[in-house]
Amino acid sequence: MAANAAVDGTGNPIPTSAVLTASAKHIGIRCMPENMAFLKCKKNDPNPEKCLEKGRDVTRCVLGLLRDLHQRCPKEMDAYVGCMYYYTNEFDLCRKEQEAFEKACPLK
Amino acid sequence: MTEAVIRNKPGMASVKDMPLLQDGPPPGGFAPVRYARRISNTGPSAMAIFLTVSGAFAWGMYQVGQGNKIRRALKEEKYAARRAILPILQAEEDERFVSEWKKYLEYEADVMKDVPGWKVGENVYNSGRWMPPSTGELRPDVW
Repeated sequence: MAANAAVDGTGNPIPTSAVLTASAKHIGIRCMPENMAFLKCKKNDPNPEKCLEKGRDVTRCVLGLLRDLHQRCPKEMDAYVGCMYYYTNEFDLCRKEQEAFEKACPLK
Repeated sequence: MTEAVIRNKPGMASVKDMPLLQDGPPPGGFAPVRYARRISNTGPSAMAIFLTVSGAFAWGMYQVGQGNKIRRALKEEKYAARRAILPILQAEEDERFVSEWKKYLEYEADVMKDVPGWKVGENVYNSGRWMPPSTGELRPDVW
């Protein structure tokens, strides 16, 4: 299991920085309600114990989204994640892989 | 001795009568040498130069603006990605912190169980807001 793998042995997505930045656009669109709810809760009260439930919603949504993306287009996602890992999350240096990923996987 | 031998004039009485041997101009003199300035008045006028330079400057500043627009778009993309993944990172950190905090409270209760007036749980500030713990690590022996 190299450091630039998107999933571990059993297909669970690993939320490393490369994986998260590679799927950041998808997360921003598909998990927006959970993210917004969590941020509102945090703004209200920064105590971590108070926002644990919404945090779990966010984690569930994002990890499920990562698994879904990896199931739908594993090769493109692995290529994009590998490129992100190699170039330390620089979007401008991975345009080719980004286009392939966004064409293969869903419409953002 | 050598000069007297070279410049010998038959019948000279002393060295002071030797004929002159000088480096001089050729007969008729040298050709005239021009030393006056000849800077021509042709070329672009002042207004032409000024307009060209300011035109180049304006075009260059326009290119700078276009480049800044592109760079701002790249930065916006990076910030948008960070905004999108901020909640999951914060949620994971919250889980970790809450479990560490519970262990720390148990440790505190264990340490202070013989102290009479200690309220065990947390006894931080009085403002009512939650503040993160101000010291470095909660349990340095574990870290």
